[in-house]
Amino acid sequence: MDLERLLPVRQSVTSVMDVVKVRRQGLEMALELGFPTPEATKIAVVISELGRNIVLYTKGGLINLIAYTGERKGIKIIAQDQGPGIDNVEQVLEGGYTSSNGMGLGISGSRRIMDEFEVKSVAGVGTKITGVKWLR
Amino acid sequence: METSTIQKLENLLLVSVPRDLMDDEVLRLRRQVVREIRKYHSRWVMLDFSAVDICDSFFGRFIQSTADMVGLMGADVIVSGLQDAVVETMIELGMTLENIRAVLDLDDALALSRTVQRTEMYTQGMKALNGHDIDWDNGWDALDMDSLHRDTHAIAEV
Amino acid sequence: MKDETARPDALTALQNEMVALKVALLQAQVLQAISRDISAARDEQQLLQALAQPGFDADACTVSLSYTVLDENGTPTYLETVASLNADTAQVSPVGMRMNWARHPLAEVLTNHPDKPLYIADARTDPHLSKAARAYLARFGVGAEVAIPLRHAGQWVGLIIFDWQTPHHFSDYERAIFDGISPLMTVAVQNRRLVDRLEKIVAARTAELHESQFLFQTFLDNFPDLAFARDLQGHFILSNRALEITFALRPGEAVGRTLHDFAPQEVADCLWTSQQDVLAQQGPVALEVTLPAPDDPLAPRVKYLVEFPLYDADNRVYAVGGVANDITDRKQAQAERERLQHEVIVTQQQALKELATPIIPIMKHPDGKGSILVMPLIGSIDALRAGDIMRALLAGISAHRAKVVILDMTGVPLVDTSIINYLNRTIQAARLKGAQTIITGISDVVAETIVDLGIDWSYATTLSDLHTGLIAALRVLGLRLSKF
Repeated sequence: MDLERLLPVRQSVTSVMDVVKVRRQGLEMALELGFPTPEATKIAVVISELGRNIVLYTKGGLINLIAYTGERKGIKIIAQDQGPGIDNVEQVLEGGYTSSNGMGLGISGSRRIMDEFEVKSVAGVGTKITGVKWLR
Repeated sequence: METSTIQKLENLLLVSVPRDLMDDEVLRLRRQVVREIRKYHSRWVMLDFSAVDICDSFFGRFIQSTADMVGLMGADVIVSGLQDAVVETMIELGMTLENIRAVLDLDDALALSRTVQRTEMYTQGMKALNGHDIDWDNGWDALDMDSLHRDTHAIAEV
Repeated sequence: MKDETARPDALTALQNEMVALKVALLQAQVLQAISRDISAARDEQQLLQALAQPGFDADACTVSLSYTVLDENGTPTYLETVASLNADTAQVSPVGMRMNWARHPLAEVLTNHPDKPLYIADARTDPHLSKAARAYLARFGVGAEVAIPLRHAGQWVGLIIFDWQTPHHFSDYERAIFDGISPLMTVAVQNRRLVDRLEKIVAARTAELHESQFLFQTFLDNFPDLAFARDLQGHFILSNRALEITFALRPGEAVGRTLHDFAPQEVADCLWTSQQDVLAQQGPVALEVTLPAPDDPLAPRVKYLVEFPLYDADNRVYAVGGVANDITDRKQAQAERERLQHEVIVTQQQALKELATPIIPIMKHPDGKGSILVMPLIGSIDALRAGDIMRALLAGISAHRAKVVILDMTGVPLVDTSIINYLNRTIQAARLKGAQTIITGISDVVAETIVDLGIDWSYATTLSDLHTGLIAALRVLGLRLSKF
């Protein structure tokens, strides 16, 4: 087991380059944990979506990845920013399912992919999104 | 940084999409595609995704916007080489790329472009001869009437 | 010359009066000084030292202070020497010596003259003394003695004794001061004894407290798991050895510090939150917390922690206590059990999956223009199986370069919206791999359900049976069945 890939990742995100970097780390972490490729890919995409949101809508943020290596294996993604916050969290979480152009799929799609998904947002303070995917 | 390359093959423009697509690259790539279409009068633009292993909604927007632009130039986008894991994720995210053709790889893309070209020529010929639509006995997407109809129509009106 | 003869008498009388006044003044001053020093005295020794003042030097070789121990009737039973000053160390009653009052040689005399100091100018000849008493004093080399009884409200308090090695002549001046000492000392000694008793009680209580605290701490320290109390700011006011060992601290090092000073950030945060919960709820809070194991940092211990409020005398919460119980082994056993169960389920699912997702390559285009796959769906379809079906199908499309996929639903007894949804996604996924999907074998029940549920499946190619599906698939590949 490559322990290096299971170390917690803490990546500040200000540009797409950072997103690319952290999602690749997430992919490797997920594969190392034993997620099959499609699942690992989905996790990486979630990281990507959350990261892109930070880049698109805020001045910058932070993405943390934590590997659960105990009996129950999994990966936790924490994305936080000091952006404007999300006004209509529920709507964002529900919306965008049928949209085909990719707009608005990010957060709602991410929630479907993750087993646990939580969005905490305070207007003017920032947003913290936490997602966990367990290995089955 | 990996750069995308655009190559011409018959009436196809082959665009290999880099693994990690950057925002500024998208603009550059789309602009270049449009230029090349004008240059070669290409009928198809094939976006090859075989190098891409993480495809988020940003890619979805990229494909859709490229398809829209290419459509304005009278050409069609074919997506090829989507990996299984990528396909599964796209479906999960709801990115079904409706109205965009997808093929397995370059071979199929080439076969598709040749077949459609043949039927298009045939259609035009038949139309010229008979003045009515043809019997689709032989052809791709024989059951996907709508999309084929759209294609032939587009050509017929040129 | 009457005047002259009278004059000296008058003068002498006046002078004598003056002297007497001066003496009285001096006595008063000495007694005042003694009084002042007595009230400043902190112990018995200092009480005795207060008796030595400028203007009054008894020149005694030994001065001692004894307390009387009374029985329940107020009768003295023992005399206990509590302080002693001596110019000549040869003869000293050791401090702490107890003497039976009845056997004391002066007891009888003192009992008979309880309110005035007893002056023995010459111990060898004094008529007050019995023969035994004289012998006793002679044995200790006492030539003269003043015994000042200290009595308060008719009760014996103590005794001050001045001893001389040789006979001593007591002047009126000395007597006046010795007489004056008695009431002063009585009050002081009375107070002193009270204070003494209180101090003894306090000391005893303190010792008891220490002992019980020690007992408590010993219990705590030998308690195998964590026990602690923290004040409202999170500072430890109590901690046991197990806690100190957990965070690699020396004994007593935790007290006065907070978890944030020595514990990992997330542990400190977690326990800070739990403390706030306790304060908010004003009641106990139980939680599971993972703590580092000092002997093996890679194997953290899971603790079942109960925290509870501690109330002061005014019924206000002043601290939060906590005890933890190690449940790592239990958790591991539980996890192991779950893992085994999970393993069984996974094995079963695996077997089922292989059974349930067969991909059958039916036909290949002779010119390599793709192939036809058939995937019979059997039984009920849930989210997990839907994922497997999609995955198997995508892999099959790549492997066989499939252009057409026939999903045969003959084996699916009933459908609902979620199954339709899964199938839709499968069709879309296949399309993104360049394959068309034909659905066959929709039973009348399924067809009815689809219509009743209002599901729009007009975009999907649906055909009645596998046979028709196959012919349609061949058409897609540009092939046709024909007879020889």
